[in-house]
Amino acid sequence: MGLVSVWFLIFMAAVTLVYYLVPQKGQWIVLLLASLSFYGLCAKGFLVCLLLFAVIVYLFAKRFETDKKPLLVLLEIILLIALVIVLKYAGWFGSGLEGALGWLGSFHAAKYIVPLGISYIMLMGLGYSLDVYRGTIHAEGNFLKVLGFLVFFPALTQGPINRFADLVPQMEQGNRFRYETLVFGVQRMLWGFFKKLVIAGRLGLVMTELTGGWKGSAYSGIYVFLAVIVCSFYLFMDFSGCMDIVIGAAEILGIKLPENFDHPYLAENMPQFWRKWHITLGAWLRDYVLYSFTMSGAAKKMNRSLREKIGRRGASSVISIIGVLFVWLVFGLWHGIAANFLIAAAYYALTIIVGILIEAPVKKFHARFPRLNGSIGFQIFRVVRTFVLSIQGAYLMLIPNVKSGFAYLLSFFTHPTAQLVIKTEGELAGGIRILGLDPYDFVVLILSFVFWVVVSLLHRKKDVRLRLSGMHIVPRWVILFAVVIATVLFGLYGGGDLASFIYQGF
Amino acid sequence: MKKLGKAVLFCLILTLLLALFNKILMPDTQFRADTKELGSEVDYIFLGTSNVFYCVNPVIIWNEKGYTGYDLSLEQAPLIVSFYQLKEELKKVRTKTVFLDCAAFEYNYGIPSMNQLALDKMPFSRDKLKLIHELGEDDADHHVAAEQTYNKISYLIPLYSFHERWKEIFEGTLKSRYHGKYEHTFAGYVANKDHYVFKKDYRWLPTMEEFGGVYETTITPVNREWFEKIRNLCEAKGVELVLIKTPSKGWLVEMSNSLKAFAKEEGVEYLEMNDENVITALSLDEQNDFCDTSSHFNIYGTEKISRYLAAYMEKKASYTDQRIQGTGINAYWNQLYETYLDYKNSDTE
Repeated sequence: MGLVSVWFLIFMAAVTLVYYLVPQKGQWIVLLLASLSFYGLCAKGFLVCLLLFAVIVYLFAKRFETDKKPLLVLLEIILLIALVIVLKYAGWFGSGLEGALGWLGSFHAAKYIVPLGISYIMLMGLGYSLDVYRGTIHAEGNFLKVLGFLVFFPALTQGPINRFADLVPQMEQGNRFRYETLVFGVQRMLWGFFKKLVIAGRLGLVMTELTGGWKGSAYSGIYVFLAVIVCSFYLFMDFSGCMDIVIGAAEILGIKLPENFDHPYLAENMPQFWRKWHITLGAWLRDYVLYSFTMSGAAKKMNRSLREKIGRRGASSVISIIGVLFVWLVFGLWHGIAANFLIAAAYYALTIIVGILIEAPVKKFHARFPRLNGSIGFQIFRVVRTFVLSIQGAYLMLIPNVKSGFAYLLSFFTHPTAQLVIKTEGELAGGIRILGLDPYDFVVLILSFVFWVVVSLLHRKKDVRLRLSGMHIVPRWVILFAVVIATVLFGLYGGGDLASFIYQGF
Repeated sequence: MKKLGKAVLFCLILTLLLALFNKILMPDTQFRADTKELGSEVDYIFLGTSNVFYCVNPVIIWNEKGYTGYDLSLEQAPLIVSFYQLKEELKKVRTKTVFLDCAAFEYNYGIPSMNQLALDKMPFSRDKLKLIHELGEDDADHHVAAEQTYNKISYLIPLYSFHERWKEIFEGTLKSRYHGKYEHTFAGYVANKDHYVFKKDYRWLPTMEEFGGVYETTITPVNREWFEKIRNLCEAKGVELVLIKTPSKGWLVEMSNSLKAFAKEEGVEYLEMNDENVITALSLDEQNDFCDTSSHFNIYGTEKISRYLAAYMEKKASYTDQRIQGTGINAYWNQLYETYLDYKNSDTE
């Protein structure tokens, strides 16, 4: 049962009904049972592993209340990472692992190469433990509540990466049924389905056509640049569409989850981009990796020593750069042990490090030309520059093979001639194809993309759902019916992998 | 309460809109027999695979002997689908004989897209849900890439599979998914004038060794189970069940022997049309009567087979010539026969 499935909608409807029928005090138990059922339906072979994971997190957090030894933190990190590596890379260890883990029950390495949501659960569990370690929150005495936090079903597969202090109080408190909450949640989910099924599905086909599946493409020159843009938007529509479904589903239950995207393509620099793209991962890395390093005794000692040699600003920059390298190393490894993720992480780190290194000259430049900084032209330049920088990272995240991925990028220079706007040979196989799409799908893609741009810009100023609720019932319903019908008719679904998400694999 | 009322109204309108699109985009399956026109009592019903709908023409049987019936077969329809088709059919129609195509024993779960056609014709009922449940999603026959769009949801809500047909609104092909070969149908029979000329004189009922390759010749447990259910259903309804194997160049002697033994074991009549005496009586022309390399015939071959079947039915005491009785269905059948003749004599392929 994936998030984009009729079964999930049925499951969601059943959970919502039971949730609001139960007294508020007991609603968290409904959520826990629903989450375990969801996990069981999706990956029952890993339920035992999940419980083991939760037990580790629970016991360490309890211990951190009284025992603040750094070695204990290290031990927990090693344990959790080891468990994730064993589960996530079971395939790498071959069939021998099946025998070794046979005691876990129905474990089949080949069938469950990537345990559902395990990387997200790890980050949430670690975040919770570290919060207790730092004294930000108290350890939860009830194991079931810790379990309920880790497996909260809407966010289980792809996040957002929740914080214990934000989510658990909402779960404990429960919610009374509110019509507006239900409607807003459903609308948010609908928007997610539209983005995923109507836009991302078609962008995926265009991406495959342009890149030739990274197995040799007929497109080169300017089309390589177009492919990089398409990859980025595909990743965005897929991931943010999923987040809309997840956040909407939680909203139906009266639970507010953190946003994971905030108009990232309007960011003016790379650090800002990372505050707008996969926000909860960025925040997690900042709080638990970057700050852990910069606030550590070792970093402070290094800072003191460097100050004497290269001055205060230089020392600060070096510490920041080392912190950034740590963050992006974790970022790359978290996505998976694959060269493209590490290269993408290195690329993102580079863009930010260059930003740190040129900070002083840039400040001087702006001091000399103060009017430039506030001008619209310069703002557009910054947005476009950040866009160009960011899309290449998204491309690197998607390439399945570094060699072919780079070879394709190089064809931008080696074969600069643009060709093949309309692939007429497709006529033989039943019609003209434009960038891998038939003319109908191409028109749908363009129109739906424009619709997304309009809605996004409107939403930036005021929540579109609030705008809708303020409208007269007739136009409101017409718009909603149109979006539902468009999603149902124009959505690419029904089979294959189209309805699965990219970030589900992490 | 006002808000709740609005929500209910919204859902109701949305459901109606989706139902409307479901209706518009669902393929036209009217090439199946129109049982409303045929009345509530017929002499026979054919069930099975394309082997039947490409070689039995009820219109010819009518013209020959005045017996009424129709064909419910679908491409590669498995027995499980045939059982539920028959169960549904017998709720509204009485028949004397059910002819069950033996080619169905070659499949366990069939082709999902064809199963979908059978399900689309069935009204929403407990039996329909049961069939959807029985067909499942993980059956071996379902592992065909092109068929992945069909699953339990699409069996229940056809729009799930057919939503992409919105493009056909602009292409003008929406009305029928089955134009071309499936355009001319008569009580379930799919008429065509294609020709396939056999280059050499293939032997009827060859052995597996002669034919080449390895084929399943035993009755699978799944098929045994669903055959039992069909037989029990027929018994309960007082319907005679006849196993039939229409002429086929790919039908092996081992398969035939296996089915003959099975029919004997089950106490069911078996009509093997590939036996030498039947083939001789049919005098099929390998240059003119086939429409493809398989077990499918054009109108000329079908006429020969249908006449033979009409004569076969005549031997059954329970059949009566409806033309003599002059019931109200005469006009319908005569009209259908005229339409068939028009098609036969026209230049239409």
